[in-house]
Amino acid sequence: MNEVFLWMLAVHIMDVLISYSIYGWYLFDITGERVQFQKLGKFILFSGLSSGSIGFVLLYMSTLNDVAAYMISSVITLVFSAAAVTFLWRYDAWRAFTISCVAGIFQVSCGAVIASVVAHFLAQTESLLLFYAVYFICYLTVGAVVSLILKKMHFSRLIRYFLEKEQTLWLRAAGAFVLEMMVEIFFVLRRQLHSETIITYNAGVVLLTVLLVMILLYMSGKEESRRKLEYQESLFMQQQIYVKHLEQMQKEMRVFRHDYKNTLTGMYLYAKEGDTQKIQEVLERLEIDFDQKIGEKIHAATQIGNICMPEMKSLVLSKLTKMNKNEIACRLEVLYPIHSFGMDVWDYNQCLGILLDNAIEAAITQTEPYVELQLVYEGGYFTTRVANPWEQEADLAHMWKEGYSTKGEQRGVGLSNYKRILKRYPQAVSVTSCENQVFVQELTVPV
Amino acid sequence: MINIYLCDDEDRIRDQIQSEIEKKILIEAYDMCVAFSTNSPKELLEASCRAQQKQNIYFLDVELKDAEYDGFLLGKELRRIDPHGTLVYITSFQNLAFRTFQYHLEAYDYIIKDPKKQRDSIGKCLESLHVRLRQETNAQISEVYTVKIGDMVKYVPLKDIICFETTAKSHHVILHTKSSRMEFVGNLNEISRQMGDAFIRTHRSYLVALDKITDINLKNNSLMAGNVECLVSRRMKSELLKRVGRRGTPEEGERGWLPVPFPKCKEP
Repeated sequence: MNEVFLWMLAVHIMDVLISYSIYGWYLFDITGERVQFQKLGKFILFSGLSSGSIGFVLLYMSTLNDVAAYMISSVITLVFSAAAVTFLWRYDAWRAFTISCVAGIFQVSCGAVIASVVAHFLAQTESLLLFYAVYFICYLTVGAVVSLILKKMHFSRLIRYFLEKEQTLWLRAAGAFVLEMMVEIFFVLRRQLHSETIITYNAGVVLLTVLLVMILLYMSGKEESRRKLEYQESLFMQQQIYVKHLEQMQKEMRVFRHDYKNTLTGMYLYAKEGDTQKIQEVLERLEIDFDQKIGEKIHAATQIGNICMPEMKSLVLSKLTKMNKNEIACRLEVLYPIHSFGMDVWDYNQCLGILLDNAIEAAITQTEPYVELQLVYEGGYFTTRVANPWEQEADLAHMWKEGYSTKGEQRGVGLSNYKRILKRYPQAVSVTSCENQVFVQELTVPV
Repeated sequence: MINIYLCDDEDRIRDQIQSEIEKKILIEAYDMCVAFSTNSPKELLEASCRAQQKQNIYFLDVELKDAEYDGFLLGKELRRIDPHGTLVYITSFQNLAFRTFQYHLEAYDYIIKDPKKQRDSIGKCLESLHVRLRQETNAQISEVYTVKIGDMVKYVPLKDIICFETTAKSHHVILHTKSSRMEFVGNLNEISRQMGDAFIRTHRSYLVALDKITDINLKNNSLMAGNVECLVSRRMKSELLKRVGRRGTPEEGERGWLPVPFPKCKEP
């Protein structure tokens, strides 16, 4: 075979391996997970092999000019990587594509800088081997450095809201695609470089990348504040309802006190007459009256009052309302006041929301619907326990998988989201059980 | 003779409850007696510490007004002193936060302070206690595995354990039983040592109870125990088959947690 051809093939394979490893590494940085080498390997194999070979064919074996071939293969790369991300990371298609584009921005700009620098400094060398060896080593080093920077600045957390927003996913995917294409154009331009402009060129690439990242972070930040605003509004609404509830209770207390005073006057008269039988009867009725009219409400309000974190209180109130609407009896127990604990309250809210929604939806189908919620903040730990009746069997091993649901198609993301959130809190432990026809989920977090 | 301890800061109520309990014990000739009655949680704790005999019954007021110990904290402390004791709570409101007590402290039951309902309530409670304590033998009490989750201690009967599994989280282990799945801080190597020969470490991440294995699929490198799929490493395949085969007759398997005897004399 043609020696030059073999040589080009070898170089191309090395290039693909290294750039896809770095690309895959960036994917982990963006999704915020620890690097799992099996996943990385599968990614390199799948997208590297497919887009790498197509790229090779387009570049060296077709009649397209270099730039066109490169652009087409970039788009193909993005598409294949998005497909890989969909399967390996279990994101939906648009999000996977967005993530691929963002990772692409970093990877291409790295490549652009390295390629231009190495080309510049080794322009005179005869040895192609030296050239490519230096190129690959630099590529790997810079890739590792950038990855470290991304990890240290918790890039995944910063960009989380950019990825998580539900609406207009395709718009943001398109936006990310455009941003990535801009970097690609720069990458292609490096061929037109003269040695004088190299510094300007690299400065341009770095500047552009930083600019693009800042655009992403800005949009992400906007989404985060929008969400916080939404939460605050619902929190306010819940507290309004809560205050109305308390005011209502106050009114009923006043009425009760009035009746109570009358009853006491009556009892005084009975006491004077020595009619202990009548007194006993009145006392009995009093206790039942109290319990029925006010006792329950005071109990409920005390428990809710013990939740000292307004965000949590708001969530519990809204779920209680949901239960009332669905005529599900709720037993809420909060023995001790709840203050801050080892978990971000928004994340906790999401988890509690998932557990309660599951409990509510399950309880509705049972003969005697109820949901129990115990929040115990004591002894250095905060334990949450959600229980509901469940007359069937529960598949404790498989219910955590995404897509598993007893409620039909297109469901089943709650518990896998729950697990995903908890992955960020290694100190939190969970217990699930289904015994004596009661299904229980518990979550314990150190304070 | 099972000792009953009483703690309620309303003396009149406490005396009344004591006399009701004693009446019931007399009528039904239960092997119980009221050993100690006080309004101070601290005194109760001291008495309990000093007591030679454990596994007592404690009737505690839910709403103790003590500065250091309320009903819950008193119960928690008592659990530490007498882990297998029985806690019964005395409450003036029906069902007030009872689940929390029942769940965190494994409180057995509650009785109501209201004099009209008291007798019935106490009567029923003592009856069911009597039955339960008769059923529990010492042997059964020792056959539990203790799991510490946060501040709580849970007891899992050894015969219910299907397997232990490591999680992606470091230092954490999942305990699988037929009806539950618990995550806790633990180390599979230590647990393996603790559990002995009734369990087999089929894989770096799995420690399985031999008598729960229902299906072995060597081609897939997995086995089914209960409804949990466990992995089998290549190294352990032969050992697994050996020990499963060695389980022998059903009577042996029924011994549950007891170590499988080496059937030297039974080998062909």
